[in-house]
Amino acid sequence: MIIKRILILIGMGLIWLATASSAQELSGREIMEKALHKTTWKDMQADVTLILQNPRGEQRVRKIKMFSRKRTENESDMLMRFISPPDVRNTAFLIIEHADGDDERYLYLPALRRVKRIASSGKGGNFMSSDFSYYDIGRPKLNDWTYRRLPDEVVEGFDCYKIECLPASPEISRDTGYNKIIRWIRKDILVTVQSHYFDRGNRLWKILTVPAVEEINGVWFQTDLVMQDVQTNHRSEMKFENIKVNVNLPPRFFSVRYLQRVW
Amino acid sequence: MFTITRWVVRHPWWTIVLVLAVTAVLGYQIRTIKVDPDITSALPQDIPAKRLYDRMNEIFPSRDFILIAIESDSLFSVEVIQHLYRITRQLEDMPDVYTVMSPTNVKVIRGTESGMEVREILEEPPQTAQEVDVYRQTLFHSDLPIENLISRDGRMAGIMVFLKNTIKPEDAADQILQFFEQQQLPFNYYITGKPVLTYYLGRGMARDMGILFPLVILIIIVILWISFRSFRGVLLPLFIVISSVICTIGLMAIFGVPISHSTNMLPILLASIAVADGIHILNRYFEHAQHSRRSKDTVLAVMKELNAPVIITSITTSFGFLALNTSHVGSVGELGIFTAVGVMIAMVFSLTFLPATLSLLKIPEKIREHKRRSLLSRLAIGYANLLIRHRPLAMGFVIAVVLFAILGFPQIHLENNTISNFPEDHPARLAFEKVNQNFAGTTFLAVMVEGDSAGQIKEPRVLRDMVQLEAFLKSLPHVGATLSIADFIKRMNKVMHADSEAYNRIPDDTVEAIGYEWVERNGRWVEVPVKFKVPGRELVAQYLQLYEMSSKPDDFANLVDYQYQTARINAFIDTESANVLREIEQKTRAFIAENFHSARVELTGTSQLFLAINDLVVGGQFWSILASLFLVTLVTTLSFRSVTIGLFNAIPLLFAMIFNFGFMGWTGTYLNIVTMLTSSIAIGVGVDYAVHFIHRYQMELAMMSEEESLRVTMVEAGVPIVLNALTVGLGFAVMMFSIFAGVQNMGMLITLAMFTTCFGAITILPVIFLTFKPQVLKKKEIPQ
Repeated sequence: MIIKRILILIGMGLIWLATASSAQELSGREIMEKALHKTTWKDMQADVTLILQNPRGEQRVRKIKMFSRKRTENESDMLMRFISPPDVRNTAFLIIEHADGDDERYLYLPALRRVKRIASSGKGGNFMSSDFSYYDIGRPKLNDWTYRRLPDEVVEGFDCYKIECLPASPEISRDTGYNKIIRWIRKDILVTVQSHYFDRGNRLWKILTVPAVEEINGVWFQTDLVMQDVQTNHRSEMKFENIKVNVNLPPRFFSVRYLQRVW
Repeated sequence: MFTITRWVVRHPWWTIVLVLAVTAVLGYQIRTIKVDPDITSALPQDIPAKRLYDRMNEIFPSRDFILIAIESDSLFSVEVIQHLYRITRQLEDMPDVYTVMSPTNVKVIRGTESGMEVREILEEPPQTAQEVDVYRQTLFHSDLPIENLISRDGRMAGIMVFLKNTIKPEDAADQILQFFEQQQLPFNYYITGKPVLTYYLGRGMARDMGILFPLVILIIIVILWISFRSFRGVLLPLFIVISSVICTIGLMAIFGVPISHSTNMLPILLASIAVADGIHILNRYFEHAQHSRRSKDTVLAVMKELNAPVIITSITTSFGFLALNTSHVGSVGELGIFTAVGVMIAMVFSLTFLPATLSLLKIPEKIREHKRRSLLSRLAIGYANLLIRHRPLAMGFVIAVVLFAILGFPQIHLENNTISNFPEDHPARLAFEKVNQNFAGTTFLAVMVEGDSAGQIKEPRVLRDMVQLEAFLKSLPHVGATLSIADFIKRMNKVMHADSEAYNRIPDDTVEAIGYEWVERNGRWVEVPVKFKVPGRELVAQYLQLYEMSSKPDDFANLVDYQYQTARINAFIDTESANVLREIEQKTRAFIAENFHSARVELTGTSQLFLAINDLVVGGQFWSILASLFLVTLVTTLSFRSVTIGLFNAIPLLFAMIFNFGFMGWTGTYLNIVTMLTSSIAIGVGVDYAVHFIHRYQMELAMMSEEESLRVTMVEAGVPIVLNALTVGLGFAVMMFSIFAGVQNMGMLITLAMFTTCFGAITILPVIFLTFKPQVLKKKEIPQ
């Protein structure tokens, strides 16, 4: 009996080894591809809290209502309306992504009753003065980077693929400000749970951690993202709540006109 | 005391080994000594100016900046701008650098047809002359405060490198200086700012140490050789000088006291003073040796006579130095404490090591003392006779000198200026002057504007007060530029109103405007114009939000705190002259009291620190003189067991002080943190002469008439006093070879003070004694 059990255990071990080694054969690019294309949501909405914290530990807290949709396979639109702090209440921010050019960005200022276009300062610009760049919050474009798979690691108790991403061209590097990104992607749900960003001098610049993920309507979301700038010790956190997926937002929602609508 | 001498003579080897061991152990500690040339770190923590300055450093991430000026006839050429661009980028990448403001990376706020754009003026280095031309146009029309980025004549570009508060600024200055030295650049450059000055101060101090200390040792060797013409006469006091300096610096290292702009002078001061005891003892030793052939007996006889005066004079000298602690300037107090400790160490070594070694050595075969002795003796007797014969004349001369000196008092000027402390051709001074002549300035006055609640800085009335204050500051002479968050708000307001100059101001408390709203009518979206009122604060907040949409998290961190509760106005000033800074401060305070009511306002910055130092100098000067006079009078009163004699001891010192300040007034020598040291040191060292003189005179007076006593005293005490004053004075005079004007002045003043206290002791005291024939000198027994 005992021998049989041991044999079964060994057999299971072998099967595990086999699957593990077959996973091993996945290239870095293939993993990224799977991770990028796993989700199938059309649109979503959520309440976002953006917490900025300076090296002295002081915080600026912004509450935002966020709407997003996929316009095409590679392009999304995003609308954000500020709930607080009071002096910027009802300002609204619209981003229209373009795969083959600069994104359009508009800010509606209720104090002026006007929409102002924000000149795009490249993807490397800071998203609302946070440590997240526009690139970080947007969807990574597969062909912007070349990938190399590094030995798997365990992050916070989860088996992860470790992928090194190098810019595919000098323009990407200049545009994003990154010389290298290392991502840890959870094997079970294919969600990035940690990233290290290196600046153009190849020094560690920012660390992304993901303290919470949540499955909503079969889609895994990172519901808490913390970006720590290790060079300046500035820190930004984005928390998502009340996520709703596929709520059929009308397309006009993502227009400049709609931006100005008084809520 | 004499028991110790006996023990020492009985166990000479033990004594020598003990002294050597102590020197070795303490000397080993020197490797941990720290160097801190920053003059402002001398400020005590508990004064308001320093507290405020430190608080500002907590709120804002960077305070010190280095300004690099680049000078070229073709500044706006492709080559130079490309260099500028590259250098700016490389400086930004340095780990000690918080941020860089350069003509190639200023953030330009531009109005576009539909919004506002914030971007660095150059995203790529320009490649063609046309691109440079466009760049130049943008730069000059950016409305940004570029007074520190482009010189008034347009021939120089300035790069402001803001350093992190967490690093040692002088180290960053060193790195940046090296970075520039390593490059081949097609233009001249000048690097200055407080960190650079501090760095050069440190270098100058090291250079002074390296040259002046050997020089003072050389002078001591020469004087010792002239005095004794014997190896033991040179080597033994020299050993005491060097080992007491080593022990003292070792102790400084143990207590974590750095070599600063004050303690830097310690080795020279201490060396000059430490040699005195040795000279006294050896002088007496050689005299006794003429009659005796037994080493131990000779040494015991000498020490029996000299233990007391050596101890008394060492204690008075130490007390003079300890009085420096009344100044509240930290590093000056440290100089006082550790020189006092050093003097005590030198005393202990003189009373132990010297007798121990001398008792081991054989009495030298022949002693050539007679010739010199007889010549000096004749001179001394001549001088005594002169005083006896022309007493009224001598008195008149002294009174005339005193009156003339007092007339110089009102002309004493208080001035601290780190820059004029450097020689005129020193790179630090050249760069400072070049930059401050052409740019807004590198000294800064920071105005902290503090609200009661978060967000108060966004209130238009606060911003308007700030703008008004900045305009006032810029109207003052020597203030070249100001910078605050209000400048950016103004600029944004203008940009958001189609670049209309009428809007180049802070918005009103309530703004009335016309905007557009989209409303749904009959199922269609239409745009309707609406008139509306909005609080100015909301407008400001939304401008800032618009700016933030494309800025880095900490873009304004140096101008306003995270919660918009505290803001800072930096005013750049082109001089470090304490008097100019004082005037700016007073006028600014008056203006604020009258016009700035929307928030609390405080002044800080390097300018305020310089002023605080100055204030301490004035206060400290008076009290440290008083304290040292009191202490030496107390010690002499106790030693001579008579208040009157204690006061007699103070008379030559008082004369020297009056002469010192008169001299400073008439020659225009500034009173500052360095020259203020003179008085206390002169009192501590100079009192010895009166002590020796009175001590001897009292001894003689017990046996003979006033006039005869004076002649003998002049020979027996007057001659050594003059020799001692020459030795110590020449030692101090070495400081005149320092590269720093302040140290040079101090060297001159203190040398002069040695001579005037000596003059006071051998001239004023005899004249008083002959005139008043004080009974107290007769009655009292000789102190032991």
